[in-house]
Amino acid sequence: MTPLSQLLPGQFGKLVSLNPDQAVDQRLMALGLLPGMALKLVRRAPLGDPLAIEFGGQVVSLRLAEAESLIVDVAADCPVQRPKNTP
Amino acid sequence: MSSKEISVALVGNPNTGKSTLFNALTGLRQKVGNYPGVTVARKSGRCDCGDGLKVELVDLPGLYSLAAASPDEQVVTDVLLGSLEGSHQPDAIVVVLDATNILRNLFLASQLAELNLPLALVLNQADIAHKQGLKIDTELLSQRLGGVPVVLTSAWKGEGISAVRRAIAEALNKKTKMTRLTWPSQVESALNTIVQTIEKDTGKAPSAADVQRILFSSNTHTSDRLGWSHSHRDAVVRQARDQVRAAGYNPLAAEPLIHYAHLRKVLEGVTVGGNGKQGNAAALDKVLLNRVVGPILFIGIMLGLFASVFWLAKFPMQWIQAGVDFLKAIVAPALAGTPMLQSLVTDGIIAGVGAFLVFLPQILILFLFVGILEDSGYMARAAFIMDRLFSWCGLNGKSFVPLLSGFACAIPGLLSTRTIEDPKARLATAFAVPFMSCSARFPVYALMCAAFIGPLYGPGWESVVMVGMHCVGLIFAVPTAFVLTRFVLKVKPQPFVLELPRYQMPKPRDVIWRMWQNAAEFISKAGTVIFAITIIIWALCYFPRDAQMSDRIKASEPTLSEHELQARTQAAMIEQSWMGRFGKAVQPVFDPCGFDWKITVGVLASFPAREVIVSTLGVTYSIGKGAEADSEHLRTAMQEAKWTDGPRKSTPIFSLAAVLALMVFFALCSQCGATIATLAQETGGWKWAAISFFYMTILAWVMAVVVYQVVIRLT
Amino acid sequence: MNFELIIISFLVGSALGWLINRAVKKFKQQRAGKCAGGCGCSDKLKPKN
Repeated sequence: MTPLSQLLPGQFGKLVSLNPDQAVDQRLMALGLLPGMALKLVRRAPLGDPLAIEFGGQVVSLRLAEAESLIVDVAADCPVQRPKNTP
Repeated sequence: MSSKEISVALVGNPNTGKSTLFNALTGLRQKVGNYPGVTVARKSGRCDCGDGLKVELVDLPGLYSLAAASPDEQVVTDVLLGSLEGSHQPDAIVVVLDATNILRNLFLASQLAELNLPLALVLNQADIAHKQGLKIDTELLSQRLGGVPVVLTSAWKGEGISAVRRAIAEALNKKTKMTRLTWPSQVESALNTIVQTIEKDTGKAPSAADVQRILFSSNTHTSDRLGWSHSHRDAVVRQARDQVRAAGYNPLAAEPLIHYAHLRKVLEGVTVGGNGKQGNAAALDKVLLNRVVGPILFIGIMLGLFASVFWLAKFPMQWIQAGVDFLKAIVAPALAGTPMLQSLVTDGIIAGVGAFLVFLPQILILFLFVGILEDSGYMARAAFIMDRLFSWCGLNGKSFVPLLSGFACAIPGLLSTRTIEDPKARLATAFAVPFMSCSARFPVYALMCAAFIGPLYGPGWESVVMVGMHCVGLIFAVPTAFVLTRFVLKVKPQPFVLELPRYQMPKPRDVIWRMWQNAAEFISKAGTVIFAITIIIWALCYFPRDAQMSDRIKASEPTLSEHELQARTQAAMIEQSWMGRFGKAVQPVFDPCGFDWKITVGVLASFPAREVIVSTLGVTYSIGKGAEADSEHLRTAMQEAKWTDGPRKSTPIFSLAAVLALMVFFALCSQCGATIATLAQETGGWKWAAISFFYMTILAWVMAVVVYQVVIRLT
Repeated sequence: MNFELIIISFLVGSALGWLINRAVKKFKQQRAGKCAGGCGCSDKLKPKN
């Protein structure tokens, strides 16, 4: 169980929990990032921040500080589902 | 009273090609107006849906959820709810979805279903879905959603457009509504509790959408709007949320959780296949967002952008200049009988407006390139790369686009700060926007560089100085923003969630259409404001006129040649005009910057609109040259200008030091009146606008003095 | 007062009057909270998020 901010580029994981009180997390949920969803840390920006994460067929930019509240279950062999609209 | 026109709203997530679809549906019959009280532009157009049914199609900005995260999104929500003053609820909604990611796009549609308005769904970018091997059963989807029309389109390719027209007609005629989801029973009763309480307290039953906003959002925007501010409001909401918790949901997460669960069921079996959206994006991003290559390419692209604007525009500019000269040559003899009118028309209007119009190509190319960058999807990557730098100043990557827009014109830059949620961060960004060298300053740099830097130091230095001037603003914007956000406003770091969309080829028609709209605005500005200002400046430079001036000069200096006499007369005429007297009076303030009174006059006259300095210099130097039929280019006139008295007598006015000082002054001084007004509006008052004005103008003066004094000693 | 001067005065006067009118209108609009700028608000140079 690690915060998303500590993932390495290329690592996959499954979202365990986030913090709905935060505006950022609410926006992520509206985009479809819900507990149980698979995601992947694609890369970090050239300056280290923000992160690019992929889930549900989209890539979203997220700051390191905001990624702290997303707890992920890291699993190297859990590929991010391509959009068949059912992750 | 004529019947209200049928209006249909076009909504959807960002990056779904909605605008391309809008253009395809409305052709060129579009207009841009205003929503009263807010600064989101109202983009509407006429759409012919067959059988004589003509509707007004309104293109709303893209948004992800009705739970608005910024004032911009709030306006869209308000328009859809019909709660925006002066704008009524649309008669139907067309939701544009990205066919390659239907689930996420359906979230908004599912929220919109709660509005209980006739709805139609458009699955755009179907060509890309097809390429990915995705097969979509639109019939099944339509059934599952209660019979709403579902069409596949590729707006970019122009396919499926007539199907959309038919779908709109169907939605309006048959009033097809999208099936609403069924809330879990405790959530349902929580919603009812709120409905009943509001009805009791305010006498009006709130809409379902409003109640959901109250229950699921952490802000009180909706309750305030409904006028529900009873003392027990918070307790009632809390109680309702407890009911939601009893159902097993965190109230702030309930909405997406419940909608998505519902939507997954709806979509079961609807789509088959598909190999991933990020086909091209993943590959391109590996290069464009690479840790080393990325930033290098970014800088290269930005530099290339400005270099292209400068170089590509050179020929069209020459044509326009030639046209202006030609016009002068024709008109002057025709008005020879009325010297005053002749002067007004040739030296005033044609010279003044012409000097301004000549920069149209540069503006066009700038808007074109920025439009291409945005449509292609690269802008999001730029924001991604730059965010770290921005957050250091307390801004975020979202500030990148307002600040970049500021390079074209500060006003859209200021308006686009509305997408920044935190008011303090928005203020800081808005304060920094005017530092970005707007397209109005371009003419000044271009004129100075072409007249003085280029001929003397070569095209290499010309480009360097051009780019350098744009950086001057940036150099000062950074510490300004830093001090502002860290110490004055104490801004907290900003949330930053930005989608990195698929890359796509910008559709030429759309990009050119937007460029054309901007050009039209630029031209009408020239035709109106500049025209009027030019006339007035001409008058100030022409009157009062001493008819005996020529004789008096001749009397005091009888050895002057005819030509010299004329030139001297003209110079003297200008000097004792109202403008001349005012400029001379104020000139001592600008003397340390190396400005003579004509430059001073130009600077002062351009406070309403920065480009006016070019027109003003056009007028003051043109008049000074006399009403001869052969027109002198402003450049030559300036190159030959010399100080006539004082310690610098006989040295060129436009020395390198003065030229640089002038450009630096322009780079930093407060921008046109419209910018100040917009700044006042966006910051909710004149305080910050006034601070911006004084801060920037004083800073500009100080730096101009520094530059002049330093450079003059080095050269 | 010759013919020329009349035309000139008319043109200059209208220009001045028009500008003042416009400035006043903009000030009033700004007071009411409407869009005060005219340069390119139609341009969708806005971030999509």
